[in-house]
Amino acid sequence: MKKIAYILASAAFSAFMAGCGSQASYVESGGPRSLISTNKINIADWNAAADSLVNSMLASPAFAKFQKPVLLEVSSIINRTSERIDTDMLTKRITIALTNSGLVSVKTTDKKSNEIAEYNRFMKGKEALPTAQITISGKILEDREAVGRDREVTYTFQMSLNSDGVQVWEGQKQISKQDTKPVF
Amino acid sequence: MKNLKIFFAFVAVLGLGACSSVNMVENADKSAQKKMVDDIRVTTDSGLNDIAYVAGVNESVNANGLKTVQVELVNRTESERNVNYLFEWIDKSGMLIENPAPVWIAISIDAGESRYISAVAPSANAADFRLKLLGNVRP
Repeated sequence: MKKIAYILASAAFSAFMAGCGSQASYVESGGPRSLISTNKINIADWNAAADSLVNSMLASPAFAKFQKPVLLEVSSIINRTSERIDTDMLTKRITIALTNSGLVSVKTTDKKSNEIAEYNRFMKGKEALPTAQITISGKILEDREAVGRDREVTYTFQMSLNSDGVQVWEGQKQISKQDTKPVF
Repeated sequence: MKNLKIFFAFVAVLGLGACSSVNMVENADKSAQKKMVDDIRVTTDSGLNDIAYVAGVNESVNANGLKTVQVELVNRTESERNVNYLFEWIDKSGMLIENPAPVWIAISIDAGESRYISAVAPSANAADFRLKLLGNVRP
């Protein structure tokens, strides 16, 4: 009798545990239902940082003195966080927004395209490829804090637009996240 | 009986802790000239309308000729809440500008706090905008 009760209880427990899971489903990337954690920079954080910096850049008079579109090149984005990150997660959304705004054209990083352009210019007796009028550079920083079971991480996204050795625009976006460690 | 008193005192302390709200002071004679926007609202979640009440919408054109919209949100509840918002821009032909894709942004608003959110049009071709608000639906 005991054995049957044990088997029934085990079966019920297994069924309960299986019921706790769920099948994979689509969510909007970085959207309101996407998962966030204090362990890393999540997609929602990249989106929020890029969106804030783009808004500030598009409102900036930094491009005003140039003929449009301004030739722009992405310089270095320094990673000072504890994780390995691809900084294109930040810069790509920014260059997409700036290019589509009509304010800038981004210098390509494609070697083949540059080779062809240089060859064509040489054959036509033209000067070398034009250099960027504005460059983007930046830094990503991380700060962690823990009080008791509460943990907090702050990511700081710093960015600047540089022209002729001068920073013509600077922007910063901080994103902080908190969670509480479980007791067990 | 003594235990009951301690229990109620504990509950009161918890309650007071959760009810902190934002006080605000601003200049009475305004110098800024706001260009307010007439808006149309579709409210499907009346609870969210208290968490993030749209108090006003104003717009301007920035140095690059791009339209900028600013919306004032007020949390009319008695606790701090998280809200998600998204700005969509529509071009002169009535088509949604999808590149770059609009993104949801999460913000936290304290009880009684008034907060501005803003967006810059992605191009000079943007004619109209739409703001979407959603409560905290994160798992």
